[in-house]
Amino acid sequence: MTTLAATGTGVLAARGIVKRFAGVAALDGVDLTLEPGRIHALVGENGAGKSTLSKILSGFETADAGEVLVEGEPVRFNGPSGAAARGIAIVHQELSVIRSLSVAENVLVGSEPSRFGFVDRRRLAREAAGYLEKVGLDVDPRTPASRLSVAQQQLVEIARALAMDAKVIFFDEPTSSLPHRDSRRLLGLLRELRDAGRAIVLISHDLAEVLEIADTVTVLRDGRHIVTAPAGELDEERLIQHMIGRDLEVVYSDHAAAAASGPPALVVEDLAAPGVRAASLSVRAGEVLGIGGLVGSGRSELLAAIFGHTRPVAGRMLLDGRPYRPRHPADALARGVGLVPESRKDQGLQLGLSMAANIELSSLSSIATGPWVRRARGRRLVERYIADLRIKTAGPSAPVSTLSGGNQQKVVLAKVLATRPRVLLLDEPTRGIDVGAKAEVHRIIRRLADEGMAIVMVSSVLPELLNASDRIVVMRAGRTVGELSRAEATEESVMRLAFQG
Amino acid sequence: MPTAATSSAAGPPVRRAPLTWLKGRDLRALAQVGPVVALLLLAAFFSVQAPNFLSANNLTNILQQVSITAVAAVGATMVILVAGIDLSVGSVVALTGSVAALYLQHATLGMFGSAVVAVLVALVVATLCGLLNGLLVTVAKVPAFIATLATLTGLRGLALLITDSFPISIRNTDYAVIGLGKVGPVPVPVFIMAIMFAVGYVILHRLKIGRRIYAVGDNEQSARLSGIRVDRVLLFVFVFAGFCAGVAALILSSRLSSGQPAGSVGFELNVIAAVVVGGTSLFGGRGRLSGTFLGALLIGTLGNGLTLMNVPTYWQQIITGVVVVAAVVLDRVSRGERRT
Amino acid sequence: MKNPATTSVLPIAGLLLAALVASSCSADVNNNAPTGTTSAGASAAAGQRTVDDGGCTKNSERIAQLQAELDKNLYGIAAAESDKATNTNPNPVPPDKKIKIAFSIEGLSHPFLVKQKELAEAEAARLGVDIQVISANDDVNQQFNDLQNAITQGVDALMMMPAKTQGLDAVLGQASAQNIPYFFTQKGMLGVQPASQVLAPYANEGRQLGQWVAEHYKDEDNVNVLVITGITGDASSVARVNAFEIELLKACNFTILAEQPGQYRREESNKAAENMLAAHKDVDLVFGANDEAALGAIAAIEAAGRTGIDVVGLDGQKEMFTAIEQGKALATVIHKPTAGILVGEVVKYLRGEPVPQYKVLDEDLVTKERIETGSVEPAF
Repeated sequence: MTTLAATGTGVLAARGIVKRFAGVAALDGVDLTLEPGRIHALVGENGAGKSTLSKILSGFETADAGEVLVEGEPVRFNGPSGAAARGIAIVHQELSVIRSLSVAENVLVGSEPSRFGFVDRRRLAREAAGYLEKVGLDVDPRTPASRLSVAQQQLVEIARALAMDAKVIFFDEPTSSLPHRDSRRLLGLLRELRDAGRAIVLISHDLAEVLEIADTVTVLRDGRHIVTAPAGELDEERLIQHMIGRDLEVVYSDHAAAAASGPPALVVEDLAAPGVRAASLSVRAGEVLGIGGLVGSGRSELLAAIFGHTRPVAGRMLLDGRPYRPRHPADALARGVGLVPESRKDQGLQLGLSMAANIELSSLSSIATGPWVRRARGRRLVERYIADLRIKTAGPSAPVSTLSGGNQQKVVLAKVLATRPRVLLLDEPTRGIDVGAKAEVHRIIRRLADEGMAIVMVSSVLPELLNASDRIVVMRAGRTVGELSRAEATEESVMRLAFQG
Repeated sequence: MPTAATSSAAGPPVRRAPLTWLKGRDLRALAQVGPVVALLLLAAFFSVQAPNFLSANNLTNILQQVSITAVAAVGATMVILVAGIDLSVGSVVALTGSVAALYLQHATLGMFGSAVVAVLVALVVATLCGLLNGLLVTVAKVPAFIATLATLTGLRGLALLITDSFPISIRNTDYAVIGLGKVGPVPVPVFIMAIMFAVGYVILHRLKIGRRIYAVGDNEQSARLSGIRVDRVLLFVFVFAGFCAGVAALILSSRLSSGQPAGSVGFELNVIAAVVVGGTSLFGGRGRLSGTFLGALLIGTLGNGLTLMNVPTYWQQIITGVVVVAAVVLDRVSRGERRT
Repeated sequence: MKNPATTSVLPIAGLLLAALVASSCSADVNNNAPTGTTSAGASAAAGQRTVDDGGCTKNSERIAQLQAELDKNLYGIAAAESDKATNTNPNPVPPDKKIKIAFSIEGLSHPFLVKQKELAEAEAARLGVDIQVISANDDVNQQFNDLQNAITQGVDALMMMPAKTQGLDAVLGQASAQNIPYFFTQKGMLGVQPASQVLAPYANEGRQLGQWVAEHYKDEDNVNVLVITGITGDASSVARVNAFEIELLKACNFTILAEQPGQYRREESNKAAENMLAAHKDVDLVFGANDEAALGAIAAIEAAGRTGIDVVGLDGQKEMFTAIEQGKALATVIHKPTAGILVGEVVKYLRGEPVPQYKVLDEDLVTKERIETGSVEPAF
């Protein structure tokens, strides 16, 4: 298989790009060259760095090291507007159509034709209509953007890119939220744009789509460039192999599969909720059930629904065989279901408060007599969990914002464990923490399972998922699409379910 | 140093605070003791410049004058701690005072009995006003700013309606004790103020609801995921703020021997200024009642001292405004980087 | 969670109930009565006075109502008692000690108030006394605090324009307890014992203007009038408006279409006028309780492009004079600021001379003719 070397610099290129977030390298020396008149696909697992690279190349982020070259010249974008001025546009995964404006205003935002300082509405509508025609969107340019369907909004964004006369257009998961017919039409439009001489970058998880339409494919893994090759020389199997790689991190402790025994502690049947189309799973006491799948497949949303943070619209849940219908997280906690959320800073902690205050927060009723908080009881509770989870700290009254990521995660864990849950839901439990803390957290998880807790764990990190779980359920596009026993679970089998369902 | 927004993978954009050349740690310390130091400096200054400032009479006057704002500020502190705001305080005070005065005009239970009932009626009315605010925010999901702006207007209209816009005089001598009485050398309003702050302290630092208030103010989503019923917390703070406004109204109407339906206009701004100067953040989650007390005292002392110094009223307003702004800036700067 | 419907209805119902109960109580409350006068006594007093309805029986009842309010009004009473009794200071200030006066003014948000301040300061300078003018920002509680602080300062006398007729009783009691005499200028209070009150003839101003207007329109069949009243709950406003309206109602050929408060300020009066003009297509005359109100009304009339509407006001402000000269307004009445005169009275009293308990100055009607002949000057 030939690997296209980064010869020449094309219309837009990245050289040795490094980007770190909170000490972790999202991109570790990546090169990429984009040629005009080509569709260049960027693929990789969650966290491989595709979005970050696109954001850097389109001005939304700045690299920590390395350079970006436009037509061979090193440049420094001044934000997205700087990139836009050089003809680089990005159509985001989360649409950025301005709903309160009209279609025409959206298409020409920032470059509205004007007379004496006032927007010339007629010219605006006329010019916008031109671009709308090019992308095949047949609506009155004066329509408010909020009235359009998602597919139409996406076309507006593309029209905007055309209005900017973009030479390079990034598409981040363009078809993931489109119905089939609109997807086909969009792909056709990408071909037209390519034929008109623009450089198109396509980020997508749909490997079949990628192989159908791209000219060149680049695979990223763990922030590194793995391979760049013409699409004709690749197939799905090989792509998956490149994306996963052969390296296994030996961080996650191996263990004997938990003896499956007893009735399930939690059963979820055909649950539909915001972000979840139809999910079913069951987990027993002492078992660790992993949930795999791509970003956007509905894993966190499923946990949110089980925890009562969102309302299910269909399906049912049983806890120890009895109907379980939490309408608020307080209901879930009262029934013994706890959640460690995905983002500890936004969802798991009160950053302005002390560590002790955080740990006590979900257990106030158990340390209080009536409305009165018993400080001694609270202190004992906090000290117990600090010791139990080995949280390293100057003292319980230390502000939680001063702790390291790993210790912060333990604080969240302590808060949830203090409520004595029977079912523990974990969403990316080791994200953003150092290796040593990761190992500790997994030791704790294993201990809790051995002590009889039923654990459901969402993880985007395959080795973690495979090593820590007794069984794995995979989600795709809001549905649970398959279950794998520990023996059956390999990277390939999980990824296949995640991508193809 | 550019004041640009930088973003991180996991979190929302983080903004650099102004004046970052000042050390964050020193400023945090400064912000904590800031109000106290400022007050002491101010008192020292006035004791030299203003005749009679340090007289027992004047100091008692200051505490008395400050008590009305301070009592209402206890409730306002809690509302601001959950990142809410209550703009209707002035109207609640006007309405409550007017209702109490109207009741006393027609009361038949004798001096003491009528006074007691008037107090109860006033507190009930004020608490109901707070409940109204709370329900608008939690059930109707109206943002607090707008909800309390609406009640500010509506309740004022109600006060003017039931009184024909006239002040209603109060001739009940037992009722007059609330605002004008003394226990030994200590004026009754000062006692009431002390009791209200004690109650507030207990709520915030000894009861479950207090922990929940701080949590909700710090991060509402996180609080919900910790099992806190955010709506109940919000309802509580607004109801309690209404109650505090009622107590303030009792002191005021007793002091003025009248219900003033057109009075206390702009009172809410004095109350909020006291809370903010005392170090409570308008973004929620941070602040102490002791700070509120100091804030009220600071603003009250400033006004009193400047008057004793014969400073023209215009200048007083300007100076007070500058002090409030300085307090807020100091608070922001001392936080260093903070989530926006 | 509780049912939202019931939980939102309950407190609203509670408040409405309280309001209904309270308003049914307030029906016969009028707080301009001096201390000790029961409502029975007041209506007896009104009953005793024969109501002069000028022969216009259809307006009799309304005239009687307005008259009853006026009888309890401080300014009506003051006008009746002017220059009768006197007060003398039992503890005069020795001639070698410099006099310190504190002048607590309700606010400085109106040119008249500013003029009061200037006159007081000028007279004080002339007489060689110290005066400090403290503004209460239109808030009665603030005025309470200001007076308390002034007492602490140990002033020799307090001069006041009270923000409201009720509310300062307690602090004035404190002043008396410390033998600090207090005086009222322009506006006064009922139920207290000032050493002297030099008040404005609010009621007479309204009456004089009303009589002139009635005369001016005596040949018209029906004159439609819009009334902009003053500060809500302010006795001086009631005095002016009632006295004015009584004269119109007696003349019998006037219809008062609407009344809205203008708070004695131009901006609110402008809004009130705008609203009333929009609601009534056929208007002949607009009455503003003060010149600021009248000027606000003139602006509203011009903005709406209406013609043929006359405007009258009270105060005798410079701008109003200009408006009358330009034909935009018909008439006003000079409202003389009394602060300067009162400073003189205060000094007299403090030095031991007798001063009258009530003093009401006379008023002066202003029309275009009088301005042209140069026989009048603006009050401020």
